[in-house]
Amino acid sequence: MKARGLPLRRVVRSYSLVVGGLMVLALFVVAAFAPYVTWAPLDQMDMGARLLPPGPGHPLGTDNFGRDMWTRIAYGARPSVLIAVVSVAASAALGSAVGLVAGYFGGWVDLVLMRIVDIFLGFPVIILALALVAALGPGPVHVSIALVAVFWTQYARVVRASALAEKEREFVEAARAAGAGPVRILVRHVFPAALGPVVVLATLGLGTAIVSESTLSFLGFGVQPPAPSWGWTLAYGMRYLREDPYLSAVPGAAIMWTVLGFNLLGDGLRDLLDPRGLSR
Amino acid sequence: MVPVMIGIAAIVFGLMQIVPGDPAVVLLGQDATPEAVAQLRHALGLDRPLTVQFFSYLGHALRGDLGESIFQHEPVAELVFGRLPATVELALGGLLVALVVGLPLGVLAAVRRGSLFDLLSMAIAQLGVSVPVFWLGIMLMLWFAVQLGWLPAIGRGAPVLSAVGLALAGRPEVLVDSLRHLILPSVTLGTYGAALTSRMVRSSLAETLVEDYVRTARAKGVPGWRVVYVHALRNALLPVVSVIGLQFGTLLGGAVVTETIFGWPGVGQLAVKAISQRDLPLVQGTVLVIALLFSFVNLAVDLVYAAIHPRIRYK
Repeated sequence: MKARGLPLRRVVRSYSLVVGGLMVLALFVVAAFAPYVTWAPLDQMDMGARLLPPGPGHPLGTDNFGRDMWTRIAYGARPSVLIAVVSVAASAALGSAVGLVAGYFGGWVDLVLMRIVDIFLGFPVIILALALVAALGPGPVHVSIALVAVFWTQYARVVRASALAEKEREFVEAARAAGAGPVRILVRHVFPAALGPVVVLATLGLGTAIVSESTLSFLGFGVQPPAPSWGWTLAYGMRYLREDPYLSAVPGAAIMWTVLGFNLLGDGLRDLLDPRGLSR
Repeated sequence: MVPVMIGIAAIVFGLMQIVPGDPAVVLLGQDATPEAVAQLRHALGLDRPLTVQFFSYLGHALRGDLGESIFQHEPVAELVFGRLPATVELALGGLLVALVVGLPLGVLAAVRRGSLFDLLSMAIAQLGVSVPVFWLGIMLMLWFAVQLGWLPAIGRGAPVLSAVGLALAGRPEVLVDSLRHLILPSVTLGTYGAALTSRMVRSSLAETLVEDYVRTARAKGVPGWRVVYVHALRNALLPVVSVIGLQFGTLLGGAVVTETIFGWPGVGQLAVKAISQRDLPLVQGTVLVIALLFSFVNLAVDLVYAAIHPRIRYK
């Protein structure tokens, strides 16, 4: 039987993959090229143009200091995306390592590691992140650490389930017989089977991470002003809800665009990469 | 269950150990003499080994003593448990919205799979799982409270339970006020759950509807609605129950945000305030109580799941 790759037709037919992919691509382009897709300097205030609705010159209006909102949103994508990517990558790495070791070695190692996972799963997501930020103090690095503490458990569970199934396969035994050490077996032979679900989880996780980061910023514990931040701008906009609802609406729409993009992309990738539905 | 709870307490305890700064120095101020600091450390028990401190904390917590709030000068347990009913009320409101909206949407979408209705409701569900809770809350507040003026923007009415009592005693206006306050926060909190529930119900029911026993029921002439609601839905709801249970954690997390937006006097609002004031005993207490509540609900969901699912039996 011919190995089935990823035929282009199947990719294109999955509309959620295409739409989600384009939305995420647009986000990355804006974040990476923020200085080139905006025309107002980031911190240029204009007290004569405060709280303007969207209009010529200011496609998304201006904030309470007369700063161009499109510029704030475009630059604001940077901390959000950076924190999300870093924390999801670290969560996936940590969770995968724990899952591989627990699933492959089994016994008391498995028991202890999975008990720790259970304990972390005993906290509602935002509560644990908030508690950690409360202890560590606000700021992007601490937010990333908090998000890793919250998200690594999903990867540990999925990779462990996959490792449990894979370690009995003949090619793993063959590798062991050929004298490969546990690290090599785990990385080269066991982990690849879990890669699909991990990629799907990570894609969906980027959306969740963006929401969590902006929730923390919204509550005042994330990215600190004057740095542009979606969550914080949204919270600040609440004070001007009557005069200028756009100040809250626009950053919220940006967050939703991002989350929707990652969710669609993740759903599409799941159909493609994870037919067994491990990451469900 | 018990080891997990001790683990949760250990993490909550450990969190406060990574806080930079010596609590004794914080309490006494930077100019305190080393002798005074040492004396206070001894009085607070901070000079004891960490394990001793932890078990002392655990022992107090088991007896309902969670320490005293630094800024409000009241026992943490009283503060937290005083606000718990408001949070539970809000969470139940959110759960109600999730079920009342999510279940019918999912069933209809599954029955009319591939129809325009299916497409539309699943598109809405995709939006529903992607919308940030805080943004939805602000937008709902903007439309229904600020612009239309239909519903109150912030605050909580009388507790629904006592308002029901008053309504029975002939004063329905209190209950109406309570419910009007409850609508926007509940919808805000319940939207994610409604979207997730409708997606779960749809895929689960669609799988069930092609089973042999469903075809048999149709073949022997059971009416269409009866096949769906009596035969198929019962089995289709099994996986949904566990997902709804897991959602409760999301619901509690969302409650923190929802309470902050709508000025809802619950545990979440208390936690956010405690964190911004760095009132650590209060942070510790709120997080511990919320996490334990979450664990209890998860356990309850497991038991319900076992009760309605004949093939699962916990030993």
